[in-house]
Amino acid sequence: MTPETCTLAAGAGDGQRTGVRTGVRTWVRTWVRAWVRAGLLLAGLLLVSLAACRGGPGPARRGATAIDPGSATRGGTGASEGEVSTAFGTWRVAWRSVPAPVPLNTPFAVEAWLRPAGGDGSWEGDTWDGGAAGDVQPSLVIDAGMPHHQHGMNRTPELSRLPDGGFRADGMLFHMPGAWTLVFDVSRGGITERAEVVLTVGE
Amino acid sequence: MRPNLLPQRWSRGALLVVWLVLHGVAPLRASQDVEGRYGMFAAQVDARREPYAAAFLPDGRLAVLERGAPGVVLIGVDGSLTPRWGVRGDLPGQLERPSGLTATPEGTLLIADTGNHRVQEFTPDGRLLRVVVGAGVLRSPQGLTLAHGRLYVADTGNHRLVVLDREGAALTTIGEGDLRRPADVAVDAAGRVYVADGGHHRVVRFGPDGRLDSAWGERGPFPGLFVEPAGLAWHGDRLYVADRDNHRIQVFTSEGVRLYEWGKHARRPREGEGHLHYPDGVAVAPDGASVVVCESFADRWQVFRPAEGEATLYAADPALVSGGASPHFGPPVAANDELIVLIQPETQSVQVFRMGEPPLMITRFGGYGDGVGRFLQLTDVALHVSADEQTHVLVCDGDAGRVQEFRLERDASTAVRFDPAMAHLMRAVDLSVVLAAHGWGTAVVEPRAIARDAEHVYVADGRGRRVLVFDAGWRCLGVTAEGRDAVDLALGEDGRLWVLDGGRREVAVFEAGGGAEVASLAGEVLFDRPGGIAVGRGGRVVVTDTGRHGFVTLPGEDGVPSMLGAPGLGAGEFFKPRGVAWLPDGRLVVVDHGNHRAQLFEADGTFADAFGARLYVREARRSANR
Repeated sequence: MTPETCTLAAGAGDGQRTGVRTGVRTWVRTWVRAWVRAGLLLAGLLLVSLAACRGGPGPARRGATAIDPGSATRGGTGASEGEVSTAFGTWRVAWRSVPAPVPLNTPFAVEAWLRPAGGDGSWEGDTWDGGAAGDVQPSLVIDAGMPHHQHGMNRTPELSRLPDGGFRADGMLFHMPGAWTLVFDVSRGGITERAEVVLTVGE
Repeated sequence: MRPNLLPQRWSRGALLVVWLVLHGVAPLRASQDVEGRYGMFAAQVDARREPYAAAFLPDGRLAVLERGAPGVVLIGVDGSLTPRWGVRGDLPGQLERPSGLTATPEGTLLIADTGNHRVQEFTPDGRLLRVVVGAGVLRSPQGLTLAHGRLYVADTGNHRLVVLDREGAALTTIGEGDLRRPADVAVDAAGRVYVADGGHHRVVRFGPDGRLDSAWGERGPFPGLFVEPAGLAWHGDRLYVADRDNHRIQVFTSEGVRLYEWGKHARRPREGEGHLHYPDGVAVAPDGASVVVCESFADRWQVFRPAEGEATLYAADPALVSGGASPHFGPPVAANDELIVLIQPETQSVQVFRMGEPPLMITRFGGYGDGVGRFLQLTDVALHVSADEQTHVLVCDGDAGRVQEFRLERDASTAVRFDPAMAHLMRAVDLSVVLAAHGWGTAVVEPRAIARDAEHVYVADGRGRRVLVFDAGWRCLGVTAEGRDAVDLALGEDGRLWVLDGGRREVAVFEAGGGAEVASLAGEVLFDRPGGIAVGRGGRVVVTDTGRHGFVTLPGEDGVPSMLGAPGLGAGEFFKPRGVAWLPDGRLVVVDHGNHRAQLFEADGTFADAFGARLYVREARRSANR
């Protein structure tokens, strides 16, 4: 209840009519301001969420908890984002699930960014070291499975590129609870190197 | 020198039965009121030398091509047997692992001389008429057929068909890019060409113009699927397919509609009499009275007549084929002081056993598929312990042209148990791409064998007939053993590379790192068909001999070669042994491929133990106890 509303309720006669007009204007102004504020708030929220979904170069750059490189190719149990090395340490992969944490039996996406382990730290994918493989850009395949159950996902994720050079796998689905292994296969020049992250879902 | 391990046994009784069946003599000739289905067992001829293909001559005689002792056996219309003719070698008129046979309307025989990469034409009694087409065109040709005045040859090593005129001039090629290891070819009356596309596990049909217009099947045990289809025959309006690794014959219409199948999987060792074991070739008698099925793996051929009764009486059981029967081991093997690594060809998976009495399987990984971590055609395995003392398994995949490296993550302090998640893929190396990236040309690489030490990885390229040498990071350092048909590799303690040359039946030794050849042992007096090689402490070298069902220990400094083994099921007996590896404690493990087991031997050659399929292991232990 606003003070203007209290005045309106208290007015009478001409004074009351004038008071009514004034009260109506005040009421309209108040509601317009409220709608403008709400719109600005919504727009702000939208911008923030867009930036979170598309603009960021991965959790490592945003200060997310990085996986200890000493753990080689293994990520942390229950993690929904992190950074991991491929098996021979050639590449670093920063990744996150969308949404987080990884849901059980609900489709989700995984986004990932690559950089050479010995590079300048750039995640954009434009600083490959060349070498024998020339300027061939690396490719990344994202998949998952349950090694203890000897099966993979029951659907094939759809891979695409992000505007910032990252990779996105849509249509991931962990259809049963337990330990899943998320794999990142990085290929260039005929050699594919794998990084693994173990995720426990629904337990 | 060569022991007579496989006497030329030929049952006259069986021959008589075969002759009766082939020529439709009552009572074996069945009525045609069974919708023309075949499948009833009529006869078999055992103890042959890898019969691989058969063809009927215009005069009614049957010709059977054998690979093990290269040549042709004829059965006359009067039931008489012509002794096998054929000489092993690479001179004109000689044969090396021949794998294709067809008869011409003139009554001559065209033979795909696979090991010599050519097609030769012979009279039925073995006189060379001419070399039709030579090595410049073909690479390891297999099946062939003559139809509509053209000769169609499955140019297996080049993954295509070659079409020639009757004089042998190449007219065109078919299927380049569509075929993988085509094994046989058949042509129907309309000129449509059917190909057993072995590496793709399917049948492909090309139109008379050579365009691919149909394909059916994929890898699997169920009706209509195939595993390594190897032989074809077109008769009447039906296509007969020897579905080799499913142990059956499947019959289709020209449109790929499956009509029926026959061939039960064997349940007992060497079981025949209608049970098929890796059928390679199929031929239908011109009058339709019988079908001949060649089984080179079982060293026999069988004759079938039209079936009577329900079709299910003759059909294979997919559950048995896909895992119910005892799987084979090998061919390759690798071992260290704790582990033995084998492959299971039926499932295209790698099996890891922990040393013990008996060794116990602790993990299995891979499986058929073209994705990373799976395999299309397992050809060899190697074990390697990394600098951080992790155990790595390197796996060769011939069809995929790559080597994959896995890490075994295990806790040695815990009790031995099966862990399906023990193996973790680390790296997959596409050899052709790697070579091209490093400026070594664009040739397709088909890895057949692998050896690994701390500094080098050696990969035998079966297609290029060479050994590629890489550093630990898969940078190609060079090529060695050029022209060698390496079927297996081994490393000595001094780092020298031992190459087992299956074509020349030789062992060649090269300097460490892929240097020059320093020695060779002419093995044709030692080996019939070498399968695997291992080099142990003190330079002890063992070579398995698939053809003689045993293994040869090559001489030490003052010793002489010694042969151990004989065909059979008992301890120290083998059936087509392949891979071999020394264990650090001086024992030897031999993959007894045809007996579904591996055998362990003490350093002095005495039998120690066996593991694998229970039925076969039991026979070995029983005979050892006796």
